[in-house]
Amino acid sequence: MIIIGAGVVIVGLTGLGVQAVRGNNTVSSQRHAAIMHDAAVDNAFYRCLDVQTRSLVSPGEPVWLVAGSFGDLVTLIKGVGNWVTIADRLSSAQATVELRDNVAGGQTCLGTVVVAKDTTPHHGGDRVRIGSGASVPGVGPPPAPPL
Amino acid sequence: MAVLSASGLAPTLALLGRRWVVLPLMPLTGSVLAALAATGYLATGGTFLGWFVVLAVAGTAIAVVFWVRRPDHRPWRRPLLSWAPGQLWLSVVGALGAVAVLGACAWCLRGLATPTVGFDARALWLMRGGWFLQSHHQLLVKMRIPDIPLVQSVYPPLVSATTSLAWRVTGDQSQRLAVVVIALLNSCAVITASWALVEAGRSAALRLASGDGGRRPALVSRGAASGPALPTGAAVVPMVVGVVSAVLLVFVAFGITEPFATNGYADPIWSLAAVGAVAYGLQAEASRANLGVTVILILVVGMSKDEGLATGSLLIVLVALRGVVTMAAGERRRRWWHPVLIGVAELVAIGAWPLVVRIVHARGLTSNYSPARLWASRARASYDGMTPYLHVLALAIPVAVVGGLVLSRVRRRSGLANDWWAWTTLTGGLVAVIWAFATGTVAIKPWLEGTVHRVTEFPALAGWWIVATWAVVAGCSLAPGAAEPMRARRGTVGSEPADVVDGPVPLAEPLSSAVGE
Repeated sequence: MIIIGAGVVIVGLTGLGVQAVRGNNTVSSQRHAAIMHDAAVDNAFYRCLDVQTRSLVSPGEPVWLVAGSFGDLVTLIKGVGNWVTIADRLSSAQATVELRDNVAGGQTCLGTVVVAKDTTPHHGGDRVRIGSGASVPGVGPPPAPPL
Repeated sequence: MAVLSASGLAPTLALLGRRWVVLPLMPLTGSVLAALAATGYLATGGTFLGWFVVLAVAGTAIAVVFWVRRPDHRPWRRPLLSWAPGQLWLSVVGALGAVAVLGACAWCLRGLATPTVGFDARALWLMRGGWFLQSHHQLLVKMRIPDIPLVQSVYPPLVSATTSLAWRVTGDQSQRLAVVVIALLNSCAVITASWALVEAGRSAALRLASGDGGRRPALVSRGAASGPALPTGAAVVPMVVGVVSAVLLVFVAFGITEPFATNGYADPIWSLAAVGAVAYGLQAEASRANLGVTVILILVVGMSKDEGLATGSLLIVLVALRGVVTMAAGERRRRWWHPVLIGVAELVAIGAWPLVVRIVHARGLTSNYSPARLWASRARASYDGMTPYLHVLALAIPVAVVGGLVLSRVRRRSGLANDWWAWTTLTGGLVAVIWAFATGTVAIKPWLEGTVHRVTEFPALAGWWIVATWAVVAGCSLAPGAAEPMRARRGTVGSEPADVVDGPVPLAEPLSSAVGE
């Protein structure tokens, strides 16, 4: 029994040790330059959307998020969903907010801008405003983070 | 983290007594309070912070009342340091293990140097944290409105609620802060689960050293008459193996859960807490302190994610079952309802959020099922997709078989329960995931590609836990006399001194039922 016990100790600790080394390598790989770059671009992109949206609507102002595409709606929610006030229906929104992609020029977030359209006469009717205050050069979308 | 720890301090101390493991458990208890606060806020309104403060004060008040009524459980009743030789030995091994596990965890957190925010973290887990800081009306709008394509917003709230608390307390509503706080919580769960191995090694060594009724003085050096015996020679092997395997398990855990351990996902927290619940609730010897750890970890599991809710429910049933079957026959007749009552209370706590989201008619509650004729092929695809992440089973199964055939007597003497409890939980978790994949309507291939590495975290971690546990047990076999039959003997050797107060299961007393080993 002692021999078998010693064998189980050796096999168990060896297995754990090998997997621990692999685990350590996995953690180290998170600091790879490409991953750090992608993370920085991803953060800059969503911060850019956040700043542009804040230049258009205030946190307490009810808005309606418009889906140019499903992907754009998800991107917009990821960028501003934690603070923006969403109207319970379109008619009670003071503005619609959406993303516009493939926009040329310098003041974009990887080629995307936030667009607000005022929905009530009090706010100017169909006035269209473009977000400002931040930009990320390049063309999007940002590198996909791990799912 | 300080607020989480402060809110969780008194309830954790009341449940566990003064122990090392209280330190990583305090913030986890605080996160449970935050999750309950989010549930209360969604159900009735008020403010999230108001709910949290009320619950934290209530938890502390209940702990104080408990200490007033049960003075023997006051954590300050025993001296801060005990210099009895046996207890000093325990403390030295504990300190070494704590430093080693803590150091390993700190090293593994270097992944935080990369400021990654995961896709789902940004789209759900952390974003929803902002919802709890908005008005109740806005929270309901965001939970209900069908135009927001987030059916997962009905998932349990622990990660989001903890994020809310961090944002509210600091005033810094950044994703980075949330990711760091969740990563630290994950680390607390890792430390707690790994610590169980250190404890198992310490307990097993002292049991082996003392459990022979004093017939083998060569094995032990007796300390103070009232303190635990001091293992020497080969009897210290389980302690060493326990510390080494605990440190290795930290690296294994981070390897399995990265990058999600440091990018804001909810999968690591429930998976790691579930492994800890298996360790303390289904493998370690029965004691009030271990049950307290188990309760806290199960609440973390069930309040973190739907998969955690399913696994947590299974854990509750198994822990209650073990509690009943390990009672002596007479006690079982009188007190069978104790573990059942604890289980029911846990089910109520983790079931509160799913109930509330139904009451408020949140979106994402309807379930669609794929045609039954596709279930077999989808289950097969799920099996194929999960296999690459479960190679640990190729090691864990033969180790468990050999251990079960050859080392069962040693395992019983070491105070560890039969590993079929862990295997049942592991299997139950796998079956739940495969069932979800098989009966779901999402295209199976992309679904697997996007999730399978996360939903296999718990079974993979549990597999490694089983390997590590058998290594500790096998370490016991190297001690002379380890395989001798147990003698019924009463004592309290084999755990932290606070167990003297808790009244652990009498040492080496044969258990009343094989299933409850």
